[in-house]
Amino acid sequence: MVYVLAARAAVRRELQYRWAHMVNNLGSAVFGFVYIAAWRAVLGRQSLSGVDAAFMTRYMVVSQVFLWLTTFMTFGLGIPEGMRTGSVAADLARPVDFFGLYAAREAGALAYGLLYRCLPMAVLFALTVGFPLPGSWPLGLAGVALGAYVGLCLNYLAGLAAFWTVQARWAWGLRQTLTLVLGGIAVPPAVYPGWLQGVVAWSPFRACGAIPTLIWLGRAGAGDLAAAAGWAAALTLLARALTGAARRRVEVQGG
Amino acid sequence: MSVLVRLVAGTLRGQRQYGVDFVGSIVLSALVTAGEFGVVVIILTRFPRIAGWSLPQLALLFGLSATATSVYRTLTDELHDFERYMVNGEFDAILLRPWPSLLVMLARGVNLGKLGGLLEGLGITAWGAARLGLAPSGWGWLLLFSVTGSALVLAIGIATSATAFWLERIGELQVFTLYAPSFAAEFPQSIYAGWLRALFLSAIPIAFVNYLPVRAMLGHGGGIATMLLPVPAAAISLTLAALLWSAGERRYRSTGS
Repeated sequence: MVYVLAARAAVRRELQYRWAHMVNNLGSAVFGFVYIAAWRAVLGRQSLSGVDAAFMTRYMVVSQVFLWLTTFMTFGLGIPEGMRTGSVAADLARPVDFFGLYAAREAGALAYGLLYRCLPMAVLFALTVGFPLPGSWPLGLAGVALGAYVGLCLNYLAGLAAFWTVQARWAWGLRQTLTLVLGGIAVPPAVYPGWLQGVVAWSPFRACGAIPTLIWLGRAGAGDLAAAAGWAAALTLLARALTGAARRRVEVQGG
Repeated sequence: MSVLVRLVAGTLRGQRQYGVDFVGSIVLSALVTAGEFGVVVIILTRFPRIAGWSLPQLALLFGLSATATSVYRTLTDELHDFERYMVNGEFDAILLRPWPSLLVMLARGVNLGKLGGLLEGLGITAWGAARLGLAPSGWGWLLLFSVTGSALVLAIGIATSATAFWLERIGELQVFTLYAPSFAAEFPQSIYAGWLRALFLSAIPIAFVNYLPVRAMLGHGGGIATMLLPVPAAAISLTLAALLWSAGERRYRSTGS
């Protein structure tokens, strides 16, 4: 199956850099420690909307570990780079689905990330501040899987911007910022000011941060999982529609 | 000096060819900083203080850290990607020039596209200073901290890039030596565990960028001496970074490609 081959090639490429990634994991863990320290300093002994220092420690380690599956991906899934070099023309000519091909490549990188980024970081956190196991394994894993898929779609859409502009980095930066602010990566939505909670509830970015984290911690359930699944379906349709438009628009910059 | 000016002018002329790209980069670099500050603001809408620091006071920390990081990124677009020179053997061409290689790398890498983050960093610092009603001398101190802080981050950046002479790949190391520390500098250092505080006072001297001098300026610990501490800290860090660079340069053997 061609998608499996594409994914496997991505894993092999990533494996070349596994020691460098371990150093990156340490840096990434420092981000987690900083947020945990900030939350402990902010909350002290108090509790707000069911959020206290112990909960935020668990929230931050889970969120930080799964960022590597749901948010940190190749810039535009490699589409902008393909536009620059012209290789995207060859990919469009292949008798396989364009979205499927890029998604499969990234899925390979994510599978690698699960083993060489998420797992070592979870172990590092488990040895220092603790890493919680999911309240329910099937729900927890489904939340993370849907988060990864929604993140993949969002990154794909940002990458598709390269078909219309050499400035796909805008779209990518916008997605990154919105995921950080609206996704609940560092702040659980319950703590947001009221008006912002409404925006968060109706944004897809929540599926990449707050939903998988809260489900993992047993603070959210099937309802939020269904919301994430809804976004996954909607974004898939959007990605397919825009791929069709991009195919008619293609104009490579070099090659 | 005139060589440096000519090199920088050449770099900027090259970038001007891409007008829209330029505006885009400025907006993008501002966007990323805005997102990070947004998180701090959201936290402080529900909680008045972090470790005793109010939002305007935190804005000084955040703004100075963002300013220093943005200055580094504005000056070092090429140096930041130095691993490319190692991996592809492009450093050979730099060595052929009759000027110090570090200077050439810096002149090549001036990228005004990162000015968005810089303006925003300065803006957030100024907002904090205005809200706190700082005296003109206070603004003067903040200006000094911006300069010394930028020099410190530049030193950390040069040292990190210099390790490429031994390690070749440094992209991932930069997360540990640059991104994570400059993020950590957005909060008061007192919230961190001892080992992290020790790290930020020594090998990655990010505490001198903003926390120590600003804390002294706000009267929370230390006096004029502490406020002047970033000056020698920056001088020493830059010297050590330059020494590490020349040690690495002597060791350089090109790639086979």
